[in-house]
Amino acid sequence: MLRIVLRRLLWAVPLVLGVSLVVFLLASLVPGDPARTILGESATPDAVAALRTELGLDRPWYEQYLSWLGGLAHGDLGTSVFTGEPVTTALNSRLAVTLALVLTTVVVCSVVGVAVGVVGALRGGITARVLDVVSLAGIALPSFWVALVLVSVFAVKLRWFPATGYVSPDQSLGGWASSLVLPVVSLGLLGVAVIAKQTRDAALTVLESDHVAVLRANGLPETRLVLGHVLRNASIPVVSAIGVVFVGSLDATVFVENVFVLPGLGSRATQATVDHDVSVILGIGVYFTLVVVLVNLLVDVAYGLLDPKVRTA
Amino acid sequence: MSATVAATAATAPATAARGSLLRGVLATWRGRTAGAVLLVVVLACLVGAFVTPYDPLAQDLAAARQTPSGAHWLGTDLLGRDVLSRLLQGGASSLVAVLVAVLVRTVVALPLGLAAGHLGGRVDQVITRVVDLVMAVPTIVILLSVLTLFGNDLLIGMAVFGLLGSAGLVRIVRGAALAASQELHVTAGRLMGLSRRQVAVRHVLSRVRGVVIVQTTLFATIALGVQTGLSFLGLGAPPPEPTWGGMVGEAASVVQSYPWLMVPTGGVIAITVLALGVLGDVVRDTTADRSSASGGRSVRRRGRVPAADPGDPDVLLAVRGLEVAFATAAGEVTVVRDVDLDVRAGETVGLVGESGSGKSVVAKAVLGLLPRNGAVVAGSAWWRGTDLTGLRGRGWRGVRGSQIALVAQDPLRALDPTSRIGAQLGELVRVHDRVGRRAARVRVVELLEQVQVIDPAEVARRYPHEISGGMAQRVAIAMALAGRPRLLVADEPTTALDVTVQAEVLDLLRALQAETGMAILLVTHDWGVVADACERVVVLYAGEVVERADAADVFAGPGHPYTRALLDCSPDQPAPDGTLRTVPGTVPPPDAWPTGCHFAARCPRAQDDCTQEGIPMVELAGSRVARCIHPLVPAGQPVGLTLERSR
Amino acid sequence: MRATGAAPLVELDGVSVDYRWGRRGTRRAVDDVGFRVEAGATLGLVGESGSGKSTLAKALVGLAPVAAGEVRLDGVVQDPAGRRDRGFLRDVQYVFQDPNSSLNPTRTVGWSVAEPLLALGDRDGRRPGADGVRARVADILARVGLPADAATRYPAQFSGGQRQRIAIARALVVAPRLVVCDEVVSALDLSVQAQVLNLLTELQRDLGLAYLFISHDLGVVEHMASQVLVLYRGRVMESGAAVAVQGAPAHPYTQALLAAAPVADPDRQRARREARAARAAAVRSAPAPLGESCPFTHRCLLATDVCHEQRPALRTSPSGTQVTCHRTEDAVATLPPAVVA
Repeated sequence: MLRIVLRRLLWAVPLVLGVSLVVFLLASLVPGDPARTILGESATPDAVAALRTELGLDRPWYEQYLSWLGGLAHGDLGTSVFTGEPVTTALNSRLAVTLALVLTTVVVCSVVGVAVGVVGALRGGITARVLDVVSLAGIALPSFWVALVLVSVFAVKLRWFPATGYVSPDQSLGGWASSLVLPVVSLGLLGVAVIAKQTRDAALTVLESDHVAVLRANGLPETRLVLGHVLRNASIPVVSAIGVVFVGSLDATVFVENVFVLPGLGSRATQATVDHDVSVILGIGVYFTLVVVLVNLLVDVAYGLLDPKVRTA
Repeated sequence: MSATVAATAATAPATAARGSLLRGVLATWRGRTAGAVLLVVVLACLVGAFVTPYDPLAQDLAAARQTPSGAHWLGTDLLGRDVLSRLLQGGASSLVAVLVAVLVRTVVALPLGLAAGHLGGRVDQVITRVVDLVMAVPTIVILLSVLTLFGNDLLIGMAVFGLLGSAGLVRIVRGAALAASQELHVTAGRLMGLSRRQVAVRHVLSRVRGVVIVQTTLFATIALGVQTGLSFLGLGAPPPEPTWGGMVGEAASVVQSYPWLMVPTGGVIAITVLALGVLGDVVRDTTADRSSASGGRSVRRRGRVPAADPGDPDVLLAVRGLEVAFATAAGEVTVVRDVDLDVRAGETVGLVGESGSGKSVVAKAVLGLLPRNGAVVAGSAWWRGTDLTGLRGRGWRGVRGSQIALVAQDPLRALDPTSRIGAQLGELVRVHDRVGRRAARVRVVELLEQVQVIDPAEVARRYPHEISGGMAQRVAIAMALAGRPRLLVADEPTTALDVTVQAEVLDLLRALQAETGMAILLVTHDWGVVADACERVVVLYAGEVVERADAADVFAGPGHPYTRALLDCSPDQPAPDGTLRTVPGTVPPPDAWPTGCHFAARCPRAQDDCTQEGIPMVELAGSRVARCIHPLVPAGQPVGLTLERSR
Repeated sequence: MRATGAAPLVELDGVSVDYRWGRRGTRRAVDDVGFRVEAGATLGLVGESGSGKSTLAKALVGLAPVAAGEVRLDGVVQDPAGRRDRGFLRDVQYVFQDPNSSLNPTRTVGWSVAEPLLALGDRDGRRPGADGVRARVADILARVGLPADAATRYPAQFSGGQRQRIAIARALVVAPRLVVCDEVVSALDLSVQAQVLNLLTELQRDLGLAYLFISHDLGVVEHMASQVLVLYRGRVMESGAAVAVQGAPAHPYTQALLAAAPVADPDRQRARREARAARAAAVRSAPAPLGESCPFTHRCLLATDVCHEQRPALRTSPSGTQVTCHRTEDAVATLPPAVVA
């Protein structure tokens, strides 16, 4: 078990290197001059050159990359050329928002998705058909479109929730929760559908298996059978589905945070893209990579706990 | 076994179509609808983009914000541009972008996945490592960087998206190829001197085709979401160029005053995604080896007629007039009909038949374990005054395990792989004995000792994958004994075992029977097992009981020609010319049962009256009762030396 | 390159096969086994799961690498790593146990049956034309008793027995001299099993085929084979004429195997059961690791110190078979008659 954890953690190293290298290469190929962009068209060539030197832009890209790596080793991701703010400072506050959004979404998706999936597997017939249609809708409707419709109905018309913006839990816990409702719903619709479908398929397979029939025939009550054996055996594919939903939701924050004007990493990434703000994009790449590595690690650990064959192998 | 026959009947149309995937998909209405919708969308966008009713960019402020009309089928936008024309033009670019992503992903992933799964070894290791790495790359960040570099060129962005997405497909193709490589036809290909590449292309590729198509439709929906999402964020083609995502953005800005605009823009995306999703589902169902959950079909339980309780106090289990049907794609199919059988206290009854005879279905019906698409549609199974076929849910408490218990065929699949043997046994003990964990642990050891496990405490700590098949079957028997049942239903309990282990298990069952006095209903296809273990025999053929008799009478000379024929097939008893006796023809499938005797077409004694009407059970000499009007043993006469053999 | 003289069709000499086990180690699946199959004859390979009988057949056709010993066809030594030329693959064909998985479900029956012919070519090494292939496929399908339209249909449209006939047709289309039948009837119903066995017998008589017939069922093997080889945990226990092995088994393992197979006669079966009970080993400990001992010691009533310490060599038993047993004389002397009755 410990070996699995260590191996996963070690993976973060080549991943961060690879991702940052790709981003760096792409960014260094971008035509245009950040120094010129910052100072504006009217700036003198001397001023631009001075800023270029100050920003280290006059050095070859690999030197820039190496010095960025050197900073990374000390936890320094550089400064944004546009805001002058250190990237870590800029992103840490935003990380909390994105994590709050994604974690809430994943928890809600998991609870609802597993419940819906199990009911679908046990009931069949009409219930299953209705669930099928609902989950198809979840898959079919693009999250940003759903977000817009939700805003217009629940925020603008009914005024139940704020249309945009984020309230920190320090200020108001209720406000925080209500500011997350609509983003979580629009972000989580797809996740619920994915997890419910996976849960139902897995549970159906387990329900048809011999060992469930044997336990049932030999007198194990249905609730114990479902909670203790069906869910447990079905949980391995469900856990990987949850992992996939986590990563997918993280990516989709780029769309949803923009609609709801949430100060998270996703909206910052869009902004940085528009600004060609390389150090911020790099920073977000590092943050996202680490989160994904961590999620994969948790999924692996869960496998180990759920499947004795993995554990004893 | 018979349940699988019913399932086979259910999937026959699907599996038959495996050769032609397209035909299989189009055979379902869902497949036809989804295919038609996709075709319309694609054609409309690709052709329609050139023949749009209006110039997608032409503004007509006088006609702005119109709802659908004859002139503008989907209305107009803020600037009076025709929505349909803009959707068609925007759709063309969206669909091309999705196509690029899908193509890149497939072209990259298919060979890599095939190589990893089929070649294995070092190649597999390297590919798997790289895939694991790429899977953890934050796609959206790379995508945004690429868009920055290439000035928001979504085509290049989607190509990169396809490249990153290929990692997931490699993993899935690898899994499918690995599974396909275990199939014997792949091995057979190697024995034809085909190179590994040839085998991969000729045999493995055709087996992973289904999963690739399913995954591709899924990925296409995601790609469409990303493409429209990015253009919604303004990272695609700049306005006034129409894009699906951009149009949603425009609609959003006026959602309060002009909500209609949300409908066509979101709707076209949703319809396209839905059609892709349904198509993927249909392809999956068509290519799956087994229809998932019987397609949710179930048998209509129209006014079931229960049979009367014979009320014989010696009889534990009295099955009367049992009829079981399965719901299949081709409609409802009866797989077992008019089955009568008795099990008395302490005796062993053999339920004998070939695959498709319905013997396992009968055993499952008794325990209420029919698959979801199956149901008892007539008759009853009386257990000391209770009709088991009428029990639901909690009604089974106090019956399953404590009155009737089950031992299944494959011992290793009969144990929950995720929990320790002691835990599984202990759970049943706690239910039946209503005791705590500590007392249960003691009883678990007792039970394992009862099934002659040498080191019970050690075995209780193990997981099912850590013990041998013979040991697993002992554990499975211990699980059945946990509730001290009066009847043990043993469904082919030794078929999956080696012959020496089979002998041990049969000896064990006999010893347990002597010790506990329980009765055994032994489902088997093996006459040797019947001779070894059974006092009475019930022979099934094509869903009907053809003969019931004491085992001694059956072996001395059965009444039904089918029983005779089945006994004669054994390789121990060749005909005088050295060939084995066979039964010509094949068992009729449940949906093709003939009128009258089900065996008539293969029977050497068949006459015209055999196929006129249903054949009743006829009492014959000795203990024999056979569904035959031209039996081998005369009615009522004692069994003598004049006993006739069928050939 | 064909060696002249009286070389048997196929000969395996002291063959051992190792399987990878865990990360580094190997495990011996077949240990120093030899046999020969003469043209037109049938050799039966008998054993329980884990006996190595299928592995041995795979070593013959090159699906499993040979760690020691030699595989010879017509006296010509074959590559131990498993490469086989087209001539070999034409001469030696393989029919698998599971007819569901041995045919590609996405291809027509005609395609599957034609494939070996197209891949391996004819006896002269040339590939017959499209019409020739079609005619040959139709011919061979009729020969195994399938309807004329079978070639255009898919495997899923056939029953298990019919699929096994298709698999046999595919093996025969290149006119082999030896067919390996690996548990070919185990997955079939009794009545269908008899049909397929009769077909195999008939084909052997008409085409002069030799069979390597693998089965866990002694009854089936005795019916099909003239010579029998009994394997246990990768080693030869006993070999000889089928009649002798079945009628006067000289190895305690063969005896146990025979005694355990139930016969379809309650009285005889009761007698056999009682005879077996009298000889059942009292201890049921885990199998000992395969070292320099007889692999059957942990289940053998007759086992003595020498059985644990010394691997028995192949020698002639009192009943005329070849056995690897230190105590074969006692085994033969104490065999209860009910076991072979």
